[in-house]
Amino acid sequence: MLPVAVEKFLLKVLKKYQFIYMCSILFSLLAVVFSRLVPLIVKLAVDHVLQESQIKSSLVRTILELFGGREILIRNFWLFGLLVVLVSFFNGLFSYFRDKFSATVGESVARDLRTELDFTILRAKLSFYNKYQTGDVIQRCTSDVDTVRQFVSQDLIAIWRNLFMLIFVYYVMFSLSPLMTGISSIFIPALIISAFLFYKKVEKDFVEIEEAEGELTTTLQESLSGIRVVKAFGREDFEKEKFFKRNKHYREKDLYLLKKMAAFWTISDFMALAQVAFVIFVGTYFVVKGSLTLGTLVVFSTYVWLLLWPVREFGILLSRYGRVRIALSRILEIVSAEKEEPKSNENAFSYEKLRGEIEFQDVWFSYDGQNNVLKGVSFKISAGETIAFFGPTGAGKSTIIALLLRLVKPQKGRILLDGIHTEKIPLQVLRRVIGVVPQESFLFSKTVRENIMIARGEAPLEEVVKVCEVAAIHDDILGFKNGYETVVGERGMTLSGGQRQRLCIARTLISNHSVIVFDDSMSAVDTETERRILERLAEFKGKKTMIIISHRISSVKNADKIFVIENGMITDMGTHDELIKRDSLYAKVWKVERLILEGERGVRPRV
Amino acid sequence: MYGPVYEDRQEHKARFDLKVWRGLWRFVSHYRWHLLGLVLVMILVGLFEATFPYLTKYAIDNFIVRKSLENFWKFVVLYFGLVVFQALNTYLLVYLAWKIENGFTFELRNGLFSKVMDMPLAFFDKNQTGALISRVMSDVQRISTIMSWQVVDFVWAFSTMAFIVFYMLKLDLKLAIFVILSVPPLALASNFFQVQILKRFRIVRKLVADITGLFNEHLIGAKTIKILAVESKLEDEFVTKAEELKRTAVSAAALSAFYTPVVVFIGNLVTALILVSGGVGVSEGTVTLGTVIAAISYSIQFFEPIQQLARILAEVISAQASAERIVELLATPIEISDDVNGLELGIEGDVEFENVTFGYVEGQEVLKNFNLKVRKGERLAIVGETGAGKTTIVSLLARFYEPTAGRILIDGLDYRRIKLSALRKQIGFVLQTPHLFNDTVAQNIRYGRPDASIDDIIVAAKLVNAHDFILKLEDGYETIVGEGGSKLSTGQRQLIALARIVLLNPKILVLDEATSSVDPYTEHLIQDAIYKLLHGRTSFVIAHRLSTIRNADRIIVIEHGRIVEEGNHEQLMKLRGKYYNLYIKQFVHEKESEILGEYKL
Repeated sequence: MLPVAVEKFLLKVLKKYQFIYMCSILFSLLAVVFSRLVPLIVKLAVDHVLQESQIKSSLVRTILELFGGREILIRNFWLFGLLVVLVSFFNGLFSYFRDKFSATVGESVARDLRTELDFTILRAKLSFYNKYQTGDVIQRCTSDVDTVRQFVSQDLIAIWRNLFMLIFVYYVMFSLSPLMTGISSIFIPALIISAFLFYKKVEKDFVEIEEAEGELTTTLQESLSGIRVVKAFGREDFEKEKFFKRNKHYREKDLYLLKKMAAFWTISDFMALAQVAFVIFVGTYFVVKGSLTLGTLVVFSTYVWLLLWPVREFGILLSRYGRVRIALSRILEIVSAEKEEPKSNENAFSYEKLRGEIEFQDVWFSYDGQNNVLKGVSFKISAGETIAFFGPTGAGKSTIIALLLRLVKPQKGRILLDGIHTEKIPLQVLRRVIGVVPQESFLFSKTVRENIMIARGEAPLEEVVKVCEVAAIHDDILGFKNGYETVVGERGMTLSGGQRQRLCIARTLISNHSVIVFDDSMSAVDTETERRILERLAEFKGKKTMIIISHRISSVKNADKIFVIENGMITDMGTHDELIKRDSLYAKVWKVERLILEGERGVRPRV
Repeated sequence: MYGPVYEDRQEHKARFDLKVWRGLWRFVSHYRWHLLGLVLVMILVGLFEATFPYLTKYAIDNFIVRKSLENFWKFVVLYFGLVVFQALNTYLLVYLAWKIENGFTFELRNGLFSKVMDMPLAFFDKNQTGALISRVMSDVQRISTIMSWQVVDFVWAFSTMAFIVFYMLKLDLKLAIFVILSVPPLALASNFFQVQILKRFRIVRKLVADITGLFNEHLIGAKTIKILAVESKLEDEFVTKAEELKRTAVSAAALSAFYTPVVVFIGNLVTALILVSGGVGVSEGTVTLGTVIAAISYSIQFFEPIQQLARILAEVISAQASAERIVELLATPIEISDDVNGLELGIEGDVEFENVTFGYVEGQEVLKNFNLKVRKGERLAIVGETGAGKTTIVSLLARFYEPTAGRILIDGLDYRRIKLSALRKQIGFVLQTPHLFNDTVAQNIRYGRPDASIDDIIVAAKLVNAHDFILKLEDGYETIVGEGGSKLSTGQRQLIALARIVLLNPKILVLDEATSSVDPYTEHLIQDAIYKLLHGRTSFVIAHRLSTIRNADRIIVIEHGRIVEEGNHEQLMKLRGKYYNLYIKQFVHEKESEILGEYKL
């Protein structure tokens, strides 16, 4: 990734909010000016009203004259107090707006980044999920976004604030006394350089500390996830020793930095304090000698602090920018991942009209480009037919469905739906026409009812109940604590594998798909319940195209047509009755099942 | 990762609770001298900081107003001396605070980890790994910062304020009163704002947790989401949440942004009052110019520590939840503790469950008045549906859990009287999904017997048919197996787990057979290894494979925590009952995979 890419990304992210951001900068400028007016007012009051020194600036003199000159002002000294209060009111107002606006920019940027990340996560190509580990992506979506958020809402504006402060302070100082300005800045270059060098130097140490902490976390995680083994072998003490060692290592790394840090802060504090002392010494000397007014000295003794503070902060900001760049580049990597179909013209197709005729024409597919999972598969399913794919695990049955849904692309061959090349059908339409009950039964952290309705939007409860009855899960749901309102999924109630699968079946059935695919989706359902579900599903025969994938004979035997898949090829096809007559894989499995189901004492265990 | 996230959903107290913090004292007490030193240093820092303006005042009144440089060099030396002292203080404060933070983190993590390791298995059923990790890592970090750096800021703020008031009283009573009078409204405003800010940030944290949950769900459920074509719907949900988070976060930030100006404004009000009243005083000749200038700079200095105090208080209150969780964990009693006077005896292997009752959750008994007697050297197979209580029986045997009623006797002796470590060394436990540590193959095999030589390890590996495949690995016995053994296949992991048991050489063996199938060749190796392992030991096998079941001396069929059928294979088949049905089902299943497996090759 090009180094500039990160800066470009940052600018792109900020661009939408340039106006608010400019406002924030403007208020920052105003706040700086107003906050620094207070010492000036004090100076004015001390020098020209309480003491009788000459006013150099003609503007200030005019203003003073306007109020009636020194005599009036000394009698109405409260005016200065009022001025301080007014100025500080505006200062407060401006800094409020500065902070509020910069927080708005920061939070908006964070929201945009999160939304874009989620957009990517929802629409990335299937290979994305294999490439990245969940924990890693989550890390980028949470702590990296947070790093950027903090930088934008605090540090980015702090850079401006410090810059304005320096300019303003230098301007005032210079106009009061160029000589004293020089004296006030003697240690500044040393401070800047030492801060910069220091942060450069300890960058490596910080990385090492982070690594040591990471190792400690890994050790901890290992011991905890292997706790059963630890307990079973009674090796708690061994694990403790391991942890103590890592903990000590982390501690030492951390202490190593301590010495450097303490030394740096001491030197930098010393330089800052010495700078202040220097101003006071020289200033006092000048005032006594008569070349400086007391008021100016007072201003300088305050302003020298205002000079030191931003200078020291620049070092910190610099080191933080390094961290933000890393975070941004990690986010950028995710959001620039390839998407499936970012924008589809769903409205161009009316999916109700698709009836569900499916054709594969010499389809070849491989996940890695070397081992072919499908080797020239061709078949045709008429609309309304019930067909089954039977074969061993890994033969390529699920791949056929992934291809049909365009989750992956074939290397060769064409896939047609109602005679239309599926690549021409928008993804959203395609996937609404074809309903799949997937192998892994993932449920969302929502209520049972919301889970079932998820692909439908709204549905009356009767309909939800109806599909749950078909999927033979209704009675189970009634037994849950809150019935259909029970929260399931990761944060909810734990369901058995069979219950989850049946919920997924109901979830697919509620949408009016023209094609329904059961991708080995009853493996955890017991045979008796499966029979009941299949019986209910038979009602759809002729109305919907149904595809059943399984390696259980009982699941597939009632299909209109059974395709036997072995090793990426269709090796056999026909009805159940036809297939069992041939000497094939199907017949062999059937014989075993029949032997047991029908054979009375036929079980003669082989040892 | 999700532990802390969910816990943040709970409401926590918004008031300081000393009791919670006292629970952590023993970990800081090692550093009590450091802490005391730190407090002293910070008091000095505060004193010096308050002294600088006083010195400026001195300079104005003695040199400037008098227009004389008499004794100026003395002043310079004194002032510069203070500068050097203050810089040294900086060194001390960084050193001490860092030491305390570092040491406290170290001690507390060690303490917490030891505690967690000593907890019984039931504890880990209730506490997710992620939650425990964040307890030991981030919660500790947070508390340590409070115990060190927040103490620095706190003492500094207090002493600076105290000394400022002291100097001001010395300077001029009337001007001092302005500053003192500003404290109550400031305290009220600070309290109000901090409580409000805290409340909003809690909502923000909850929303952040929700959003993290959504990210996680969308990642894990990616395939399902695509299949259901619900991307847009979920995206809308996400956008709504993200927008809500943004709104809440901005309003929380706005409240913070409002707080600082309020404090600064009150501060400047005081400055203005001092200026006016002091100015009038100067023109009347009742106050010196130096006094007024010093009073003004004190009044400006006074408000920084107040803001600090408010911030620290908020920080302490919000970290209190972390502290509470840690203290709670440290105070949890260890239910299954090792009896110090436990017997260190070698066992023969007779086992008896005597009226054992047990449930994971109170009121839901998995076993009730369960009785079982197993002779030394007997091979017992336990069969039954998922959830019938098979695993519970063997978990009780290894004393991962203890019966709520009844006794378990080993060689006729209540097993609670045997030292836990001695007991576990004599019960070998093969888990369904064996966990390997991210270490070398050799270290993993050695796990139950740390002193085993490499020759012992090879002998064990050969016995369980693991030697050949281990040699084929990249670095042989020195190959790192990856997190949880991820670089090895399931079957290979099982073989290594078996080798681990061989070295342990236990009298009693518990085997939870894996249901997931491995390739036929490895399957054969595993079966053979198990057969050898069972030889001559009392064994409890939660059996799924027909060969293991048939080879058992006795089979018990468990249903709802009870033994419903008992006998050997032939006897039970004749019964045509539960066992018969289970057996048939398994037979079909094995046959099917056998045929399909052949074709797959």
